Amino acid sequence: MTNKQNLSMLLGIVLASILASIFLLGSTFGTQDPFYINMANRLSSSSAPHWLGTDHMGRDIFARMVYGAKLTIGLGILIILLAMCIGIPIGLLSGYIGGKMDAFFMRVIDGILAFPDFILAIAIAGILGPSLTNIVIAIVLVKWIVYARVIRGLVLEEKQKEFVLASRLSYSSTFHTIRLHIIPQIFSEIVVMAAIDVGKIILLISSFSYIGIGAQAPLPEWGAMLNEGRTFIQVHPSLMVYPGIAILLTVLCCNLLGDGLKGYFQARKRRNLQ
Amino acid sequence: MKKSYISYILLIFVMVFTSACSSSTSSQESEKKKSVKLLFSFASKTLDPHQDWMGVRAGIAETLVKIDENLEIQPWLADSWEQLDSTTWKFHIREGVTFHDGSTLDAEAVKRSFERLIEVNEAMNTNLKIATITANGQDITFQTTEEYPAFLSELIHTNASVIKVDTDKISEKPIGTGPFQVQSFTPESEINLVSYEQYWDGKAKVDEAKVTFNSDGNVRALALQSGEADIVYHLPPETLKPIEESKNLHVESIMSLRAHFLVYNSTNPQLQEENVRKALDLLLDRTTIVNEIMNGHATEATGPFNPMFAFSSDTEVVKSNPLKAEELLKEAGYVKNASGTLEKNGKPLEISVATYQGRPELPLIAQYLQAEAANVGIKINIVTVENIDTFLWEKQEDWDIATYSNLTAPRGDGGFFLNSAYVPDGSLNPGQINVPELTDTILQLNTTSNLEQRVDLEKEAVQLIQEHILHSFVVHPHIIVGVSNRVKNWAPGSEEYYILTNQLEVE
Repeated sequence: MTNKQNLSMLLGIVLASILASIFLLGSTFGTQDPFYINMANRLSSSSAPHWLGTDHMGRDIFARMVYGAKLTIGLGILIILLAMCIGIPIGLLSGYIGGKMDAFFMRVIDGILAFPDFILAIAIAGILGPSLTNIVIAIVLVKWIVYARVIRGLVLEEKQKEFVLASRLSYSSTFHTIRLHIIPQIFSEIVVMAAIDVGKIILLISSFSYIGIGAQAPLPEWGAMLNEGRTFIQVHPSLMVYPGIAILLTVLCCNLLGDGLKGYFQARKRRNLQ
Repeated sequence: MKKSYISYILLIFVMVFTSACSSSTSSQESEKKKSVKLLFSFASKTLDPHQDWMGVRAGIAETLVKIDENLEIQPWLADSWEQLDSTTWKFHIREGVTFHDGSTLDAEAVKRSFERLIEVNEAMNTNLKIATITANGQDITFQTTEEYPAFLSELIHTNASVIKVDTDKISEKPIGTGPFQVQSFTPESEINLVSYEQYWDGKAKVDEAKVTFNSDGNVRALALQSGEADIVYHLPPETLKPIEESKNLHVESIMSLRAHFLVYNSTNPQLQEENVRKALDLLLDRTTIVNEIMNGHATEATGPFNPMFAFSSDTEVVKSNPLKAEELLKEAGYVKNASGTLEKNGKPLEISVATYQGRPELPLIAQYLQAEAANVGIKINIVTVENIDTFLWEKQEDWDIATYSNLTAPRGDGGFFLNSAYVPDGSLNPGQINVPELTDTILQLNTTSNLEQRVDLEKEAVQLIQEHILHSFVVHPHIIVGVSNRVKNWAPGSEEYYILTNQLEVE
């Protein structure tokens, strides 16, 4: 693990701890309702009951940020898990079994990869209609192929190794060989990829909500909050600044942790080889 | 070698000098020319005045009659007219009017323009109901297919403008009779105009004008502040503060002929119940919406029509009353279930509200209604769509209520809106409203020419609409226009028809 990766890991952990404490404290001790509209108190500045002030509908910005954190980060993790659930088995089987099955899945993946993922997700979400559920479906449909493709490549490499060949020669079942000898070898790569991808997916969810096809009002998804604050950019920039900073720091945190984990696993592999 | 260096330096010097001279000459020329820049919200794909409103708005083409600031019909290209019988109208075309190519405007040119209009614009063909047109010198006579008292007010429509038809570039360079002629046009981007020297009502006081489009309200507001535009239409209320505080800019806010309202989908059994619609109407706090969401740039609505019209509703503004709303729902048989949502026969009162960003205040009105409705136990789900018209018509089973906005009396008469929004199969009736009593009143209105009787019938229709809450009218928004102080002799009109005029001046 290089010094740079050590630093990334450290910064990532510090940032994640700070963000997690703010949002956990907010969700445990916060008393404001993120959906309560109070027109008499709109666009107010920071005060004791409203730590970050109120938005254009008189709702507490901090309560909305905390709710938005749960929503945005939670959805990011959910999407990764769903994409992995589809992509990993297909990648494993395609790489390990090969033949016609491999050719079929790879052509499907090539076909989907021919379109830029953002544009394709917009097209899917556009057909399904604007809602957060449809955005999750659209992103999962676009993201699983990346996992399938990468894992297939890793499996192709692993299956040539002697311990896998030994397992096959000893008449172990396909499932047994994959579970005991291949998954542990590629596990670290999957974790690193997922950690970096969470950040990208959070950006995707926020982008879709920003252009209006993701979270629908009054859900305080960070991208939707950015969109709602857009018209107030000159008079109350804080409506855009807070969710903007939250997205920036969360994505940065995911990237730093992903980079750090990558270094950690590489160092461990090297140690094992020695 | 040294010599060639010197000659290079001299050459560069000469080039720089000549270019500086030429640019200073051209800048002097443009300084002399007075120009105005207009930034508008809805982009024009074509400049054909028979299909797009920009022809009249940009002062390129004109109609036979126009509407004045008191919303009364005034002569324009026609200086007089008379109704010969219930279906025949005769107009005298103003003498001395010329098209931008120098040719004289006569009744024959007007006839050919109208013949093209009803050929290329199906909606106008239906609206005008023209059977025959006869031209004789400066006199033109229209015969309508049926008794049609609203014919004169329909002629105010910008699409009914008179243009020269024997040119093949009508969509890019229409030849009209207005104070400005088109120099160049880039669809959905910009129009460059120059004043027409021989304009019949006196040459425009500016030499050139540029019209650009941008659908983003914030960008429009910033363009005004940066000096990129002199007149900017449809500013969002939230963006006005820096403009109002500026020494060089001001805001014009005038009551429009438009209404923001809720459309109820009458195919939804829950919304077929009058009490449910009345309860939702009582949850709308119109005063708060005017003061907070519209920042004061709107008037509370008491019905579809702007209160300045004689045929508008006489009733008071409906005040928000959640308690009464709850009572009405109780009367209708709704009771709260364990989760606090109202339900009847096991079916919860859950409503889907469709809205769109095109008018930024509409999603806010939807959210405000959602919060108020939640307090009494009605669950509202909001869906924001890109193209509201397509959504309302093509996905009728996906929405229960829609926030909508429309010009309700665009030409000073309510007939158009009543026919489109309340008659079954009307072009503005996606909620499929069908109240036989109201339809009869509207059909009677269509054949009534006496002005007083028309007002009475329109009032009767408004009363039925309000009584049964067929729509919930929320506010009449103001037209908010940001104007640079260098613009003189200009104010926006509530009709939004006549924007660039020959009277407009710049310092």
